[in-house]
Amino acid sequence: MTGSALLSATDLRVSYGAFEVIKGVSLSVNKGGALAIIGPNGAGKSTLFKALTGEIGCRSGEVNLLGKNVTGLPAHLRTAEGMGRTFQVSRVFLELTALENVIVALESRQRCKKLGQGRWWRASPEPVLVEEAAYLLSQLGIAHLRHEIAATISHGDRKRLELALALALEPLILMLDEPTAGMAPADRMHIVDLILSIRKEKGVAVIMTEHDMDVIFSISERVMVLNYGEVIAEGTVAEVRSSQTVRDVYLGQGHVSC
Amino acid sequence: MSQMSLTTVQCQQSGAEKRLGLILLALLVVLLFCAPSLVNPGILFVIGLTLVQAVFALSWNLLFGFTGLASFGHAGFFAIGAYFTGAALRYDFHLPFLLVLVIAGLGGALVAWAIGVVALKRLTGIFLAVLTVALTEAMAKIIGFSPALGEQDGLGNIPRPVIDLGLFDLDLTHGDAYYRFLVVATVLIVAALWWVVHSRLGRTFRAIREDADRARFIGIDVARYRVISFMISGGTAALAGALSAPLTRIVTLDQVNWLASTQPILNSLLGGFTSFWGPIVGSVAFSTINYWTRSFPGLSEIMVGGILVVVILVAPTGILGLIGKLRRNFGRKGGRT
Repeated sequence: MTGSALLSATDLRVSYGAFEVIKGVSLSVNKGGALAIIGPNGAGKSTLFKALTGEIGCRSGEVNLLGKNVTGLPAHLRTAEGMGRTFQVSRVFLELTALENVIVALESRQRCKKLGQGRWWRASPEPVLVEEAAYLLSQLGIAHLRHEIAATISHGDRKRLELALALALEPLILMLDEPTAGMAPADRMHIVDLILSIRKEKGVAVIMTEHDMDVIFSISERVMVLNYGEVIAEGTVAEVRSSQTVRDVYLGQGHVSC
Repeated sequence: MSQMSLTTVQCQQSGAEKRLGLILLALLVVLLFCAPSLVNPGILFVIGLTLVQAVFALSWNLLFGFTGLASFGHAGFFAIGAYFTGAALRYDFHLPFLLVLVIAGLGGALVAWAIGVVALKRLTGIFLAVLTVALTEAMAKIIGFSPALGEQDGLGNIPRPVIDLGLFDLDLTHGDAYYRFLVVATVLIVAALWWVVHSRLGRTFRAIREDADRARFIGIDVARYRVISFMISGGTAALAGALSAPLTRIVTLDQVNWLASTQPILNSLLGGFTSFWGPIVGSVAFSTINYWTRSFPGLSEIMVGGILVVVILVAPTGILGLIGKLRRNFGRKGGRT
């Protein structure tokens, strides 16, 4: 754990009733860094994600964002502190247009960061936010869908729109839960390029879960492997690839007790 | 036709439709204002009640249609406004009538805040529905045992107010004058609610309605905004009640029961809860059915029940939703208004 870590978690423990799902996990990500969390189904990846983002509480442990203890903060305040999140099954505001989706996120950003919110009596969105929303959509390659109701757009485009929502908040760290799940190979590589360019241009850190190893190895230089709520390996891509423990878990050699 | 030119034509159509809508709306308001000279007092009274019901239904639909929360005891808020205003006029609280309306609205909002903080900050949405029913039932019991509020007989002989405007008095004691005041008040309340729904606040409400978890992850304090929506809704319902008391000149326990709470729900569902104007259309439709079938006791309930079954099966988004669907099917631009 370094003092300069953008996001760090120390000895996180999460239980569902008497059943401990996360058993003392620690991690850290620096500014602009990337960490992939992998593991077989039921390893606790999603639970760890939820604990980091504030969706569920921790039994013990601590989460720090930019050196500030955010363990007790609810999700919306962690978001305001700079944590963006996408979901495994993309979640956008289905009955709003793509443009309205992003505008709502931008208006929320203005509130969170205590920026100018424009004239309060004005019913329609501020033109400057409409322009920014359109720009964000064009950056993600879905400008042509701006007036489409989100419910009518394809799965891949919805994933892009969800990413636009997360980016609208100008996050310091993006938490991506299987960002390419269910996408066609071409779309998948487009998302990978997009995430890489976000990291490079904006210096945004990334924590992701993903099943597609090509995606993981393309985006992340560090990988953490979870099994039964415990970290069984952590290191560079090469280190994790060569780990016998990881191979055993993935090839079905059984649960590795620590 | 290229994509660009098609879009331009659609925008022009949309702009023309908006202008046409505004003109029709303005004509309707003028017609409503002139109604005392056009219709008999009986129909005027029905129109007045419809305006009150329209505001009541809009208040409920702000919660359901635009924030995704249900209240099954909204009559409690209506009764707060109606009984407070009735008592203020009957017992002469020496308060200007406009201030009475403001206090009634704030009273409704305050009660909504108290319920909202418990139900929405600590619990999930279903508890809001349960607590609002509890509020209505508790209010009915309290009123039923309050001699000052008329107990089971209701609070009758409510005088209509005279508003002191400094330079002159606005005498609303005559039915026509109060009706005109009601039209102006309704227009102002509808305009304020339209602004809420279409403003930043309304967009936030709609985002919460669509996906509360997603809303949290764009930094929205979901519980806080739900409480705000509930306060606006409760305050508006109380205002509807406050406006109704001098119109009917009597407030009874019939306005504080679960049946009264279903009226804004039925109006919104019939008119279309996805549209801002749906609850108004539903209120007009219900009033029309009730008026046409007034000579046949029970027939209006059967017709309303039948229409609701048809609406839910054929057009779950109500009359306006059905019109929108038909327009889209005929290749014209439709959707939400």
